[in-house]
Amino acid sequence: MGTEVSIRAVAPPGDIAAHEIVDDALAVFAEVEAACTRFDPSSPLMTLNRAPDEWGRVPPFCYDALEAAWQAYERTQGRFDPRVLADLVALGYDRSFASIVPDGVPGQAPPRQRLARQRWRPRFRRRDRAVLLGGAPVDLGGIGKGLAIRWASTVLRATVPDHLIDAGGDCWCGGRSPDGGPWLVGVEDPHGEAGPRLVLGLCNMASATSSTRVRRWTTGGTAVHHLVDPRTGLPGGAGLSAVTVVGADPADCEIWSKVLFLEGRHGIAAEAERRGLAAYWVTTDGHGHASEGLRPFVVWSAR
Amino acid sequence: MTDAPASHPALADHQRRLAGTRTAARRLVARAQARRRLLPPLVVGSGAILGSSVLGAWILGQQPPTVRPAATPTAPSSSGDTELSADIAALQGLAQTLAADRTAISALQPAGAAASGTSGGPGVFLPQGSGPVASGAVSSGPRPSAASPASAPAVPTAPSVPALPTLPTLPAVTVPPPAPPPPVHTTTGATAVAP
Repeated sequence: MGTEVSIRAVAPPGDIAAHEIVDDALAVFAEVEAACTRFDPSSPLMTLNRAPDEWGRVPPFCYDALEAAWQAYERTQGRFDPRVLADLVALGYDRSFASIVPDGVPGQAPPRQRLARQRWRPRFRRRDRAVLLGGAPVDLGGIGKGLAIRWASTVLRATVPDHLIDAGGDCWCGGRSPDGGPWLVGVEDPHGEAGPRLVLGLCNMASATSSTRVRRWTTGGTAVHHLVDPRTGLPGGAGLSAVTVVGADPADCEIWSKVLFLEGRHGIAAEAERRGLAAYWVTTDGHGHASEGLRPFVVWSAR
Repeated sequence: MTDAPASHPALADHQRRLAGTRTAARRLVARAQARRRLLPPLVVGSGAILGSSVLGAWILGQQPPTVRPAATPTAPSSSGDTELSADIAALQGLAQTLAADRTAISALQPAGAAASGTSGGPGVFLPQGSGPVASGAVSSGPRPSAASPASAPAVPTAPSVPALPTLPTLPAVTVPPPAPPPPVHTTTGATAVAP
């Protein structure tokens, strides 16, 4: 996942069980990472990606992640498509982001739009956790983090219902904060201004942000980022710098923040309202906008 | 003396020429007299128009143009008596108009005095020294001195507007700075990438 993960649980001092359960939740992230990473050639996902036209057995986390990715593809009418892996590789994102040369590699060709893909039709066989990818390798980076938060929260819920999971900016706010109120989540400024643009008060809610602030680089003399539009194979979201979505499930927030981002500044408002999403987005010229669904969660706004 | 011989043809021609010359001379004199009769009433009428415009110009606070006295007709003919009567009637009408204007101005004086005496009252606001109406209609504007005809009545000077009382200085309004964000438990957005 390439991100730092932190878990805060509200428990009495010296509560050994709470400490153990937090360790178990952190182990979920490690297992998901091991099963779903594309930066380890020996991972179950990459083994499956090497033979996308054949059935292959995968560990439980990888199986569930692939099935969740396909369901997200169906729910978003293909706006969320894990087959953008080939596009990311073509853009130079073929290794962990920390290893990418930010200014590009000499001799790289500028990115070009590709032809539209056919409908994604993977097949799943639950009894032996076998998957047929349907001809194209996939990337679970966009949804794996949200799923890991969901599963880690399930581990924590019974023992420490009041907890906060933060995985690289994607959050789950379980229960109440230590002071009894909602967990306060600051929405960072994607242009690097100090201080949050919004503060959200969340109880048993998740938030996720898709932003171009960090994961951007140069390829073939063109600035690109990791939020690729499946319709073109090129970085999308014209006019937007960041999109934050609040919802009941961290994986769904991850999916919808990316889908809304790809709508660009001219289409995001209508799409957020049409789907009833609680969203906040910042345009490249620095203006912030919130959907109606987000307003109940806003406890402070900079503007 | 014998009777004059029968008209000599040359003499007859000479008499006819003399008669024609006299006729032409009479026509010329008549035209000149008619021109003199016609011109003076035009001047008087012009003067009457200027006289009425002088009054209006002063009310508006402008410098009135200089009005010359009407030229006296020279050698009025008998036929000009009628025109002279008409001129006198026009002058009388002008005098009436001026008298009516004087009455109107006099009627305005108490209102002006009341307004200046209750400055700051409801609905009364006379900015000092600004605006054409305030300076011209109420305060002492430039008056026509030698410009008015002799028959033009003197217009009384309106009282000047006293200075308005100085408004008390309003206390400075301090806009509170925007509330700082509350301390947050975590952030979402552009978090650094772990190596």
